[in-house]
Amino acid sequence: MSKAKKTAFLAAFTAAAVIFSYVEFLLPAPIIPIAGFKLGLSNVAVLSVMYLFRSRDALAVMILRTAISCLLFSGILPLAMSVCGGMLSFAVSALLKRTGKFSIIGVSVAGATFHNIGQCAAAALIVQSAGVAAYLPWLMVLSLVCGAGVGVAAGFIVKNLRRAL
Amino acid sequence: MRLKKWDILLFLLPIAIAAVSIIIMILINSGESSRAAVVRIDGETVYTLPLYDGLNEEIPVNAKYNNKIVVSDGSVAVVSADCKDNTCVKRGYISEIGESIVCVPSRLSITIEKIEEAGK
Repeated sequence: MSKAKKTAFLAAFTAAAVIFSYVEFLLPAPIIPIAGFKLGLSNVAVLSVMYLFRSRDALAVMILRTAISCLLFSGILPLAMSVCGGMLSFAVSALLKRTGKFSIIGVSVAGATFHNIGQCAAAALIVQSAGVAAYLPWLMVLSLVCGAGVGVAAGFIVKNLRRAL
Repeated sequence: MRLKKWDILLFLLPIAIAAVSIIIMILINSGESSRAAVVRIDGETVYTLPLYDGLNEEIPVNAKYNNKIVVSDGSVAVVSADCKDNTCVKRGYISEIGESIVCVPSRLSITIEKIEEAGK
């Protein structure tokens, strides 16, 4: 694939990820009373890029979408938490994908799990209290459900787009 | 798109973490005792509010933002906050030991903890 075509694709995925973040921002307060819980829709784009291109391209998309969406919608403090969660999640996903032993759905669930662990750790550091751990059981159940959903969605995108690339 | 057999490990991981954190919370808080809402700003305890039936109080907390905490019949909630995300208010009332409300913008956390019976 030409460099220009790849750049265009990555830009489109980044734009899609930002839109997903915006949709999540507009959604009403979650049904489950968990601080700032998000579905992780934008990870559909990041995960698709990881499978269609290379992990480093997915990292670029993830960093850009985190920076853009935090500047546009949420603010600096969620940025710190997002970056912590995002980096940990990315590292785990990329490593698991590299082993070749897991499907995109499994990788997505692991990514969601570590995203939440990273965010909890960041929140615990910011407020200087381990009380954040009380959110963990809920967050883990949600990681499984949302991570699987994101994985299935990304799987469809990868399957259908691979032919177009 | 198919699952691979090793995926089951990744699916069990969050369930295991959830189970372990629940067990740890239960172990820490086992046994009958009285409860208190410990209010911390930046890790420093600013209030320890004992919780029991019939006690109703409103406590304004001025951290980075202004929050109003309400203690009502053994439960506690943040009822108003002038930060912009208000996630702490949406959390509602908490009453069980180990539960917590975390307000990241104000660096504020409220955790329900076990307290000794001495001199209530």
